[in-house]
Amino acid sequence: MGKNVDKYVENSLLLKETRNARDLVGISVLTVSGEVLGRVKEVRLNPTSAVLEGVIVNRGLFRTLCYMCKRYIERITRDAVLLNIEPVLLYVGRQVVSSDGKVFGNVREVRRVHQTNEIESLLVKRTFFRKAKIPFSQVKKLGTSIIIKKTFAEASKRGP
Amino acid sequence: MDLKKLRGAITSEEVLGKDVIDTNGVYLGVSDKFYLDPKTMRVLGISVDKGFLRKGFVISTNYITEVAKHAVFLNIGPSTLLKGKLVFGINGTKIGSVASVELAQDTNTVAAIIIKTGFLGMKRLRIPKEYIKSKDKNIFLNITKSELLQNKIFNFSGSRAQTQ
Repeated sequence: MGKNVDKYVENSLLLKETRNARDLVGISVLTVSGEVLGRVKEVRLNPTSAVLEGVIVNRGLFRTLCYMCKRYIERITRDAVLLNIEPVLLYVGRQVVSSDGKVFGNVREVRRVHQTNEIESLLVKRTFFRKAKIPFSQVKKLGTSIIIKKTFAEASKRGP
Repeated sequence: MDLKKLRGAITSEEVLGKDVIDTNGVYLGVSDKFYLDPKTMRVLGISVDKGFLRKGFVISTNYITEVAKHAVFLNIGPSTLLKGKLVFGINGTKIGSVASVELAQDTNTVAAIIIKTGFLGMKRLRIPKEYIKSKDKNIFLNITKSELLQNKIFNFSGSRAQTQ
């Protein structure tokens, strides 16, 4: 690449050190824990500075797209976009376990602080009709299951 | 007998038959047996039953954080659960998946992982722990895929130490 290209470079990367944005489309997006979030659908640039601002991730059929800004991107390699976070949307569907070890329900929705990756609260589906809201301050551990600080009896009590 | 000491104690009924949950919240199985020191009668560990036709395992009491009302919580994630996880190179290139795990003797420390790669996963590579960068949902190595495939020290013949 670049044999027949007239190059005009000053105080920036050489042409061979740059990368064609088209090549990024379709590569995998991996979270910090190694989970495959999806594939790059679009590369978004800042319209004034033309610097990469983020990527839109295609998570698969029937799933919503998600936009990852450059702050959450650790590195872009030839084969993958590596994130420096575990996106909270991955917690949807995970089991919620009380501090005494009983299954409390499943995460139905994750409410975030504005559009950041910080959790404000979790909406937990307990039975077909019953739902509970767990503030993030009540979460003890986020993992394959979400362990909360309250016991099953305490968490089951309805608020005042 | 000093009855005051018994007040804070728990009985075998409160431990056996409970779910065993690791540090990541993964359900491992049900506690089904106690192991006692025959001389001191101290509890050495519990065995975990993983269900029908699945091989259980024994956990030392050092790895137990808490015996709660409905479950036993551990302070580790058993390394044997790495089996089946995807393995990526330092650049995020998919290399293969974990076929088996070599543990340091009777501990939860990973000595090496055996990965299956190549066409239909027929090629096996042995990755010592020094080359493992992180292991969580999946495994990241600190070398690239090309370095791994070119270097013959990673080739695995299948006749090394016992793997799990």
